[in-house]
Amino acid sequence: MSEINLDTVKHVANLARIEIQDEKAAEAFTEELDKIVDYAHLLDEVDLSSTTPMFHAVDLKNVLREDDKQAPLSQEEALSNAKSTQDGQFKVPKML
Amino acid sequence: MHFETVIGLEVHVELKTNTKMFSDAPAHFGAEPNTNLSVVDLGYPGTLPVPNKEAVNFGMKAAMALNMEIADVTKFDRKNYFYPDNPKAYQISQFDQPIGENGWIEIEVGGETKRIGITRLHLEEDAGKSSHKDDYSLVDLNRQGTPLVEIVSEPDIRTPEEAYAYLEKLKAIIQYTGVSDCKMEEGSLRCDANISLRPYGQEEFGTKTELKNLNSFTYVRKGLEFEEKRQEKVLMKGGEIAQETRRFDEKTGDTLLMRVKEGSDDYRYFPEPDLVQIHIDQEWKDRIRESIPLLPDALKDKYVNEYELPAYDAHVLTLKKETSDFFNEMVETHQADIKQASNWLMGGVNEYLNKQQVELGDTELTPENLSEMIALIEDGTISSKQAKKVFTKIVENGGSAKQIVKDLGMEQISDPSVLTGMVTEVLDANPQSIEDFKNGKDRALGFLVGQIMKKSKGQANPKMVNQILLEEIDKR
Repeated sequence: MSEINLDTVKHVANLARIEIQDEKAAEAFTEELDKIVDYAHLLDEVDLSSTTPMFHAVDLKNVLREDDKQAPLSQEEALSNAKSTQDGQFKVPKML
Repeated sequence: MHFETVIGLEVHVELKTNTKMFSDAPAHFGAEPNTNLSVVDLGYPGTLPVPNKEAVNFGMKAAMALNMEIADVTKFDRKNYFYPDNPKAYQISQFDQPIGENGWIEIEVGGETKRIGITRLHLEEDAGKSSHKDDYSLVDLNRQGTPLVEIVSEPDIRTPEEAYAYLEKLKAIIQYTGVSDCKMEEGSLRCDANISLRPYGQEEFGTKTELKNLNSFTYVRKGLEFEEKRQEKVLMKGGEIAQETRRFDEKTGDTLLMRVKEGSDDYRYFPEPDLVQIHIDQEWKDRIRESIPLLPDALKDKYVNEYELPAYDAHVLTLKKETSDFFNEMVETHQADIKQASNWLMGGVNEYLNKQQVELGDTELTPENLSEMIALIEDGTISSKQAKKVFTKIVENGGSAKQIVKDLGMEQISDPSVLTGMVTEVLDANPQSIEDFKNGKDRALGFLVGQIMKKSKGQANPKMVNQILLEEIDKR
């Protein structure tokens, strides 16, 4: 019973901006991911009908900060890890 | 139209906090590129976001003003997508437990009041801003992390005109709460519109398209008008509407295909592991509710019922918070006459603003100097004609109305002893006129008044001149 097909793999790879070089690799991923998802289905066997969902591993709430300003990075610091810059901005490949 | 139009609007409003949603870097508009950033905004590994309490307060305040239910427990989620204006490759947003749900506002179109439902309001962070050149793009990340609320309406809107009215009302309400400037030209209010058509009577919605790049309320209306015609044409030809995102072209008024829309699943939302839940107790909710000032509708009622202003005047005065704040200060702090203050704001002041294409705050007018000017008219120091000159001065140069009246030598002479002196002089010089008046020639009185006004260089208080003149003639 396979939930993951070649199209799913290509779609997910595209969403994650991962380039899959050839069809063969895509097929291998399909098989592997299908197994992983299948394995995760083991959880379906657990009866959770009386368990409240947990969204976080840490039992904390209301960790908030006051609205007080701190000095920001300088423009030079902000851009220091950029591959390419121009006019104080990040220069990136054409988007539109 | 052969179809019923169904419109839903998504409005993003930037919150006016000092700092970002999840970092302590400044969150203000107009700084040099990439100078409002911290390592959190840049998405550096190992950094952790911490929510801004004031942003949560502001979001709650906006939600309350829109008649929403406030969550007891709210949380943040990751929305994953790759784009250069988003350094983390995800946006921290809220998915299934937004801070506010199930609200509404009332709009008025064609004299009819209609209630538009609001599905939800959630907190999130803004992305950076990119500008596109020929073969590359530039990214300024200053806006990255600025607190936003996204307000999603129910698909209750039926015409582009209703969409326009909804936006005007929403903007006014948010502005009144003080949580945002709602300036579309600075991007602190942005709108995307969903529109679909369905045959009249059909319950199921048609396939919708999403419109982007709507940079003014007028463009929202125009884009929707174009899109409803486009969809109708496609459907009439037996075609199908594709679920897609379309871009409004300001020059042509057309909408153009941008991309086939990614489904919600593609964003792979999941609870944000870097942030914990926020529990909002009753005390917190009460505190925020108490901080909400009178909203436009309530203020309008107050103006009509307490101040006895006509409904239309009350409507105009409450369109912008800036105007009603100014009016309130005139009336409450400077005891300006209500009717006069309203008349000046709707008349002379409005005229000036429209002519100069400026906002009230751009002028030198203050509630104090305008009230002072009105008081000078009321107590007879200046005539309404003179007031126009004084107004021009204070609106452009500011300063005290009293001082300007003095500088212009406009002060009416209302001192009885000075006026009596003038009257006596004029009467002494014109015995014939007194005689004529006593013989029933009313015109003679006009002549005498004219002489006195001439003598006072037009500054004598006409009402008092008349009175004193009659008294003095009687004595003779």
